[in-house]
Amino acid sequence: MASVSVANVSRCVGCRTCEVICSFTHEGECRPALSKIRVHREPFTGETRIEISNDCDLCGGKMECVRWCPVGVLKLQKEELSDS
Amino acid sequence: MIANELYGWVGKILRIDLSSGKVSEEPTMERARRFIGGMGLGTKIMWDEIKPEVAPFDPENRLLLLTGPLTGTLAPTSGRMEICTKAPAVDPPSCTRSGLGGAFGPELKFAGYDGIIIQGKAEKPVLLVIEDGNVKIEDANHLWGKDTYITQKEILHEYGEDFKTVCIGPAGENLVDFAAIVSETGYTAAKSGMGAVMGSKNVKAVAVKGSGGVKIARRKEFRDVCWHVRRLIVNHPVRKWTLGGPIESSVAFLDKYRTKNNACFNCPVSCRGWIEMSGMDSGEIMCLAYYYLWLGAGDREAWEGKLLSDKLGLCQFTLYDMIRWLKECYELGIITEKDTEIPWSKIGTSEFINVLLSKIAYREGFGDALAKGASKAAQSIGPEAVELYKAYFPARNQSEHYSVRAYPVILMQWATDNRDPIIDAHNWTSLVYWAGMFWPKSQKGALTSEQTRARAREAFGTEKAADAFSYEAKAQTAIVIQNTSRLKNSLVLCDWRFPITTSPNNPPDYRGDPDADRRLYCAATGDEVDKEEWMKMGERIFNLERAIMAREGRRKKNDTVEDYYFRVPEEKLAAFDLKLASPPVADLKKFEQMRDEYYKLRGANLETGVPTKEKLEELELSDVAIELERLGII
Repeated sequence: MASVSVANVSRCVGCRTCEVICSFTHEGECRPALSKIRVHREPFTGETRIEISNDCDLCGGKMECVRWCPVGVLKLQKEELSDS
Repeated sequence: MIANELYGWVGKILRIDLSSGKVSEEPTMERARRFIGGMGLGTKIMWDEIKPEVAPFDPENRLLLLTGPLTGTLAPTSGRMEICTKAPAVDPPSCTRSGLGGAFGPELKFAGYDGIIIQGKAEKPVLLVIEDGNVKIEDANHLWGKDTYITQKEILHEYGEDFKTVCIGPAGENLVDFAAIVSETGYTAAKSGMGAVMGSKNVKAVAVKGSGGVKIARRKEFRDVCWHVRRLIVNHPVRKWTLGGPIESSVAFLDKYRTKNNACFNCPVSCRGWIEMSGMDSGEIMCLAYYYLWLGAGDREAWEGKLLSDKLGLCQFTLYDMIRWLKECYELGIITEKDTEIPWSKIGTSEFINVLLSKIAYREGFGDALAKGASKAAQSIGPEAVELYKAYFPARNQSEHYSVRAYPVILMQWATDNRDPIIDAHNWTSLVYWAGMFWPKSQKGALTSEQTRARAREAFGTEKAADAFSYEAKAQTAIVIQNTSRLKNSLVLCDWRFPITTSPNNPPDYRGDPDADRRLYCAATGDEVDKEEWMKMGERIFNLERAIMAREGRRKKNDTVEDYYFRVPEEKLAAFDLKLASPPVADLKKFEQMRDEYYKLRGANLETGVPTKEKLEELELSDVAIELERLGII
């Protein structure tokens, strides 16, 4: 199955637009706590973590978080074909 | 609007009375329908609750932490908030505001509050902890005395890494006139002494966390406008300069030490450079955070100066001009190293910045005089120092921000506001000064003079706004700037990108969309407001500010800048200012004509500068008119 994955976390600016558009699309309100993608930027080290929940449905193919990310941190990861 | 369903706003204002320990809630919409949020709402609360006789550090003063209906939403740059209070760094003290970026504002809304009114004074240092409607006033003795980095780290360690924080450093605790409120490593509400007011109430920090959300009235429309706005401002050139402007020293510094950019909540611009330097703390840099670099410091010393000012909680903007002014005093022998015990001959070194900032924050020796603010310090040093002080502080103890002498619209703004008026109203400078005049012409989005005129006409209603050095039509331009900046700071959107007067992403004419903020507001809240009514809302907020100023004693004679600016030509324009054929000096006669034109257009009394009864009634501020009449002001 395809999924949203993190292409380059070191470029993440920590804006959390992905959280906002995710919750807005799925829950109808701007509510990061219910977003299927969560970003945590540690204020003093700058280290950023991005977690994507297993129930991400790619917005039915629209992949809003990938589209709205201003710095291209997120990408679509296609399933790798097995050798068999 | 459906009575029990709110969109944009979350509906409640939290009131914390530190003297009694009482915590209560009140409905946002009692005031927000007419005053929106942020700065507008703050102005209304200050009119209602901060009487003119209240001094900044009186328990009766309020410290207002306010979001707006777009805060925390999909609206690009929705991470900002406004802090309002009767501020000590404005001389004389005045009810005013300061903006704050980051993510505290959105988190406050997710916790269920559009704002917090802090009043009274705690007996001992406290930390306010707010989590999803649950409010605790916690003991903060263990945090008192600690710097802003350590304070926030300890709070995050104790309460959880998802909390968002604002706090003060030792400067705020010690009531330093220009102490800032600090969030994370570089979001600061500064230049007006908000940190000292927080310190006077014994509030060390506020920590907030929420799991709620912000509802939107017309979702499809809102999403479309948000995408439209995003397209206009994403990858903006300020991203590479991190608001240092195309200044060589800042750009060289960034090239060496920036590992990435950071953004405020939901901002597609990400104008903040993340700096990592071996053996030192990391943090964000932008704009005046380069202050020590601009004063000639080496890279490491510049970063040390930046970290130190944030950790102690001191305003970098004020420090920058204070140091330039005192350096001149030192060079002319007005102050000495011996008397002040500060090594003025070593500006640029680690030693100098450590000694100076420490003495100010802890109010030691000469540092105590400086901690009272530049205007009072100048008076205590003597008349020569006062004269030199004026070169850096055009009015009301606020350090200069863009040339008051060269640009009449800047002068008009300075003359009629109560603090540095440009800091949250870059409308004209972003368009005419930067994109039109000072961006390298090779920069995408740099405007030709014809384009600048066309964009100026859209933004200010007159293309004469693009004639930077002429007094013509600058009263009107200033009025549009003031009204529209009240609106963006009430929503609350970022001053650097709103209103969108031009876009580097829109060749060939680089047209923006100055009406976008209204459309965001309407779609988010469900309020139907046409362009005319929208401008009236901005005008209402500004006139209420002027009514507060009038109640505090402000009159026409105060609607000016220091006489210095009318008699002494500007010899040293800032590094990025135009090299003019002759040094600029403000023209008193033309200024007075411009000011009269301004009063007429504003509907203010020509003799006093105070809004007239008719104007206040037209703006649905009849209660304000009645009060000003009762006081004999109108």
